[in-house]
Amino acid sequence: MRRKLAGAAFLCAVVLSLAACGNSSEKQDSSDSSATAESTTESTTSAAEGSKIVRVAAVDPQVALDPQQYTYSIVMKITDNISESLLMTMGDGSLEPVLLTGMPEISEDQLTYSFELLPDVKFHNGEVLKSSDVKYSYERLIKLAKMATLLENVAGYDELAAGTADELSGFQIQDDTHFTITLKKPYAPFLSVLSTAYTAIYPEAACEEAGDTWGMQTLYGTGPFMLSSYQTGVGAELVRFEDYHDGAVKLDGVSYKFIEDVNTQVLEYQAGNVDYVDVDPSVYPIYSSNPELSEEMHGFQPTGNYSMNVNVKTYPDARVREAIALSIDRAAICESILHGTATVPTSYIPAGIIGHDDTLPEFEYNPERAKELLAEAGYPDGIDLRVTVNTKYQGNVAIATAFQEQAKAAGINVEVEQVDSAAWSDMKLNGGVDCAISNWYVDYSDPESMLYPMTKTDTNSSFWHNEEFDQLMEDGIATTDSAERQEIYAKAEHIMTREDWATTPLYNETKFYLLNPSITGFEIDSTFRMFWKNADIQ
Amino acid sequence: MLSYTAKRLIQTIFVLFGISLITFILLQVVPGDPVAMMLEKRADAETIAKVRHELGLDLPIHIQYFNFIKGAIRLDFGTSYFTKEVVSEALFRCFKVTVKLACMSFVFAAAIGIPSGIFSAVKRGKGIDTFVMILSIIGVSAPAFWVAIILQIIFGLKLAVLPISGFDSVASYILPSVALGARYAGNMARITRTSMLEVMGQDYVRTARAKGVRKWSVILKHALKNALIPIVTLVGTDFGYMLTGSMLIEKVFSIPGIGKLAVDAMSNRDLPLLEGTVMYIAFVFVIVNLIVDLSYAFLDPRIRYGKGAA
Repeated sequence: MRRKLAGAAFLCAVVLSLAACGNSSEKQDSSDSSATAESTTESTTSAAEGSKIVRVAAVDPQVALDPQQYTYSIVMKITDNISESLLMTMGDGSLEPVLLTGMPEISEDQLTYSFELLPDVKFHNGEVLKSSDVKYSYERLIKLAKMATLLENVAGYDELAAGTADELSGFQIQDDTHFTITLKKPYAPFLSVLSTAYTAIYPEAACEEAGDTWGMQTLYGTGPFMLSSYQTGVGAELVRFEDYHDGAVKLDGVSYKFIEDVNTQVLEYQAGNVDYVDVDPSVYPIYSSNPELSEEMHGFQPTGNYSMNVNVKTYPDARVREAIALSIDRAAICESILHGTATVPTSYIPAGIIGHDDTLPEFEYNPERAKELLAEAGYPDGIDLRVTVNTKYQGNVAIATAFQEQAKAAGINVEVEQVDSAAWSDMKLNGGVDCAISNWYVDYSDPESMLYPMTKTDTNSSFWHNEEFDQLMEDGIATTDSAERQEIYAKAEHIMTREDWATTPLYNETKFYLLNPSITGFEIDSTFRMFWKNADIQ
Repeated sequence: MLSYTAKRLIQTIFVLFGISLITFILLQVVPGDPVAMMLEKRADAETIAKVRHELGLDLPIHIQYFNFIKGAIRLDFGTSYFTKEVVSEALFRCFKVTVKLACMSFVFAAAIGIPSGIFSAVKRGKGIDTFVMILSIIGVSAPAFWVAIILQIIFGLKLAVLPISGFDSVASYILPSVALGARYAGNMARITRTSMLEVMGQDYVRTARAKGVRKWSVILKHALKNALIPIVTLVGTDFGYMLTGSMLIEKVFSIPGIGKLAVDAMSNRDLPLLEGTVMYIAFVFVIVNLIVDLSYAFLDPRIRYGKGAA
């Protein structure tokens, strides 16, 4: 009897193992998961022979592909090829109409913008783009709250955000292709805001019908590619949209393969299984020295920086904050930890946007002066400083550790505290971070986007506010003259980084990626947006 | 036996309840707020309050826990804050992947570990014994992610005979199964050897040999059978670990299993997903332990459960 039982158990184990293995070759069953997009066309899952499909290694976004809800750049990497905004920011910072017949007309008082949509632009579900879809998309952005404040200067924003109104009163529809947007006050970056991924236009009826499944099972836009499938943990498949308003693109599709591990990503590239991969700074020295890969490696400088924010509630004396800034050896960090891929900054506002002052010297390392400042501030024996770093960015841990050693010369005793992303976000908001290493990149090519967290929110952990700075920020958005804006923002930055020392820039980085040399026409911009629209495989 | 099983199953409910309470309390204590994660870019106080209200995070803690328990009884852990996927569906989706990896790793570990342990015990003190034990130490001590990278480079990149990552074919499970199973194989080999050596010194084994029973028949029928209890305990617990996923292996090989789901849920403080995942892991361990305990009675007739049991 027992022998039979043992035999049966063994048989079960074998059957279970075989069944487990046997099923593994099957494709993911779209019916068994809510996180699989509806397939509007025949699904393409790999670079089949003869088809032009670019295979991209990407980090799993783990969220709905909806930038209005999830603001991660890894979401936009995908959605920028599916949905479009009214305008697009070009490489030189200028704006070009995408879904419009031309640039909008602006009234003399700079308050009313008149738009005309391109006729017969189709969404992926076949619906034609109308003014009401634009209104719906902007109202949705406000109702979803996450990035609502992008439109805070539009008339009627406050009422809609507070729930006392159902509509955005500043948005007036004339007909299906004409509408106006009225602002509460002049706001210079407004059109730049309308070029961001957050202001992408969605078809009202389909988006409403999809509800919570928007960006997971369903996502329609007017872009050159349609979402064919999306499975968190697996990948996303995009196929060419034949009715694209700018003419069908050359590629048959884009296939995103979600690979978490940075080493595995590059190995897959080396094995020829993917055509594009980001090169993480931690593995950059390994692969940059590989002669087979060096010619396929490209770099770009994102508009933003890494900085060290000091909590002014913990360190209210500006001299202490200046001493902390002076005790960072940025050149050593750029050279040793970042392998020469970063440069020492001269200003918080990076080069390429208004407000960057290229006459300023690099932020210096001067521990002796830092010591003097601490003594003047009443700390002749130095200070203790807790530096909190988000373990999601392992490079920051290495930088904080290097700073720990560098700051000793200034009498600053650094304790490095490592926390995960959720704890990091929570601690920052609640004032639990005394000193932080963090990064910030612009959402649109304007200094307002760079400095916004320092004036309107406390999300940057410094809790620093300055009336003169806030006024300059108000003046900056109310002015359209570039020269005037340059002066205003340069002055604002001076107050922040060289008078009050609320935050101090650490470095400007260069990002690297590997691209299959047979691919042409790929575009990546300084705000991390990736476009496959003009790409082709030779 | 039946009453013992029923008693253990009832205990399971209390264990799961206790774990749910501890998990819930820990999540309140540990710093981290899903709303702060969602609103990192442009959050003002009003927006934060609005989103907290939408997610029900502004309710008193005991009401939140009560709501969680109410749902958990019906296996309804809610929907993920981030993906909006129903938690039970996400768990099932990942479980299907993890169970494949676990079964293959288990078969690999058991097929290598147990025979090696037996062979090593039989050849005690000889060169082959030393060799097997050195291999087992390497298997136990080599970090799984390191083994994984080495396997990827050799078999995926250089020889190009197996996929580097992914989970869409039987072949793609081979490298992760070996990387995950290596440690368990080493452990199994060591425990099997120790247990076998102990049993092989017993009188009944010597008696069997003296009666002229063939060597391998003695080893497999008389010795192994009696050496199985510690092996089954280890193997059962190992299988439990495998079924709860391996974060490192899943990350390196891009396999969307339970381990990755748990880590993602934790790093996002995606509370419904995290609570669901913790309850799943607790359930797996409780059940695996129960099965291991029950298997003792089959392996050793001296062990009896229920009324009158010693």
